[in-house]
Amino acid sequence: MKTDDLIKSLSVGLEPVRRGAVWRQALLWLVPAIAVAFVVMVLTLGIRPDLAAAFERPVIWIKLAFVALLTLTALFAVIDASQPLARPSRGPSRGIPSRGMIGFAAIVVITAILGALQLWYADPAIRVKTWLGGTSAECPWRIAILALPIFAGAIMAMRGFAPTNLRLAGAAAGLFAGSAAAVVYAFYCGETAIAFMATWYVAGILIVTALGALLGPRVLHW
Amino acid sequence: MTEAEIRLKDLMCRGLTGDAKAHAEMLGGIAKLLRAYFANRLGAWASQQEDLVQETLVSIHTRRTSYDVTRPILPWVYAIARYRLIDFFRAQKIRATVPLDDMNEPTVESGAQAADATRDVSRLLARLPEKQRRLITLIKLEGLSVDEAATRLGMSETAAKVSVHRGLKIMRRHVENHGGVKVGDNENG
Repeated sequence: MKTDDLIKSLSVGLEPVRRGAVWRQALLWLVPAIAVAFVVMVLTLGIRPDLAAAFERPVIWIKLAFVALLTLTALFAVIDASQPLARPSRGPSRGIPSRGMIGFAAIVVITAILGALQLWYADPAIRVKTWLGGTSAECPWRIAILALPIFAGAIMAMRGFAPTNLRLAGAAAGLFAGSAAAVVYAFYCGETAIAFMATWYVAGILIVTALGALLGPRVLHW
Repeated sequence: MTEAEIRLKDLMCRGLTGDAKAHAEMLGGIAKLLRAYFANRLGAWASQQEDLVQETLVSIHTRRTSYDVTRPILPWVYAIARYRLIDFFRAQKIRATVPLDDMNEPTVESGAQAADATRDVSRLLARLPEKQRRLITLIKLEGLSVDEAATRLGMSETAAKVSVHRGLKIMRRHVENHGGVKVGDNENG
């Protein structure tokens, strides 16, 4: 087929692209994927029975704010990583962290500091116990597993865009999936220490991020 | 931004609002740029140029949603072109390791490929400083020993060895960045 004919056929019936189309397209995949993760959690772990009462105390609000901010910054990371990178052909683009990833790291650091302060003012005898809570071993893995359907949704969304650094894009997808899964998990989790979530929630998120980086080149081809 | 880039970006923005004529004109302009881009990088696979141009145009068309209008358009276009080019080279590598039967028959193509290879090497050598180029030519292409070549050019043997090593490194890096010889995951785009 001649290129001119190709161009003509591509231009026939051209649909306008609305502003914010990328965000809309992304959310179209991500919101149902998060809903699926929520259903999985409800069916397996169940929502915490004292949820209504918990909302009357500050802990759950801090928790939700933390994971919601992580999810928001991770979403920016996904959108940024879905762009063709602007580096000209000068070799590896070294996976420059996007504003989303930097924001994510900043929130983790701030929360870790707050968590450390909270432990500092706690009774020394129960510091370690506070930090480990009761579920430190299970928590990261539960978040990682809840993240899987969200990860799948993120991959499907990104394949509709044009990521060129597939490892970075995969990592961003994992970062988002883990963060959103942590939001879902927060409706089950009864732990209260800030240090707990700064450590074990983030650990779960990082597991999924690493998985995403590993799988990126394989599943993100377009 | 050059005038051409400004014009292309304007056409793209109009195309995004649904202006089919602007969109077609943009694709035509991009096609010209792509032809030059691929012509410089395909070497022995020059016959695939138009296929690659078309594939890249389709990618640009179907992914135009991902173009951020606040950013320059040419880096976006070339990033997609580069992605498709690397994909293409990876596919060729895979095919080249399959049946040996094709490789035994002398064809017009293999002759052309040999000529292309010579031309590519000369072009790579031309990028080096003169002394380095003469050194590598004497040793690698004319078969002199390092010692003989070093004497002829008036350098020590050690200096010659270092110079050859560096020169080959430059040439290899150029091939990797522009010829897709390195096969690996597409994590670098």
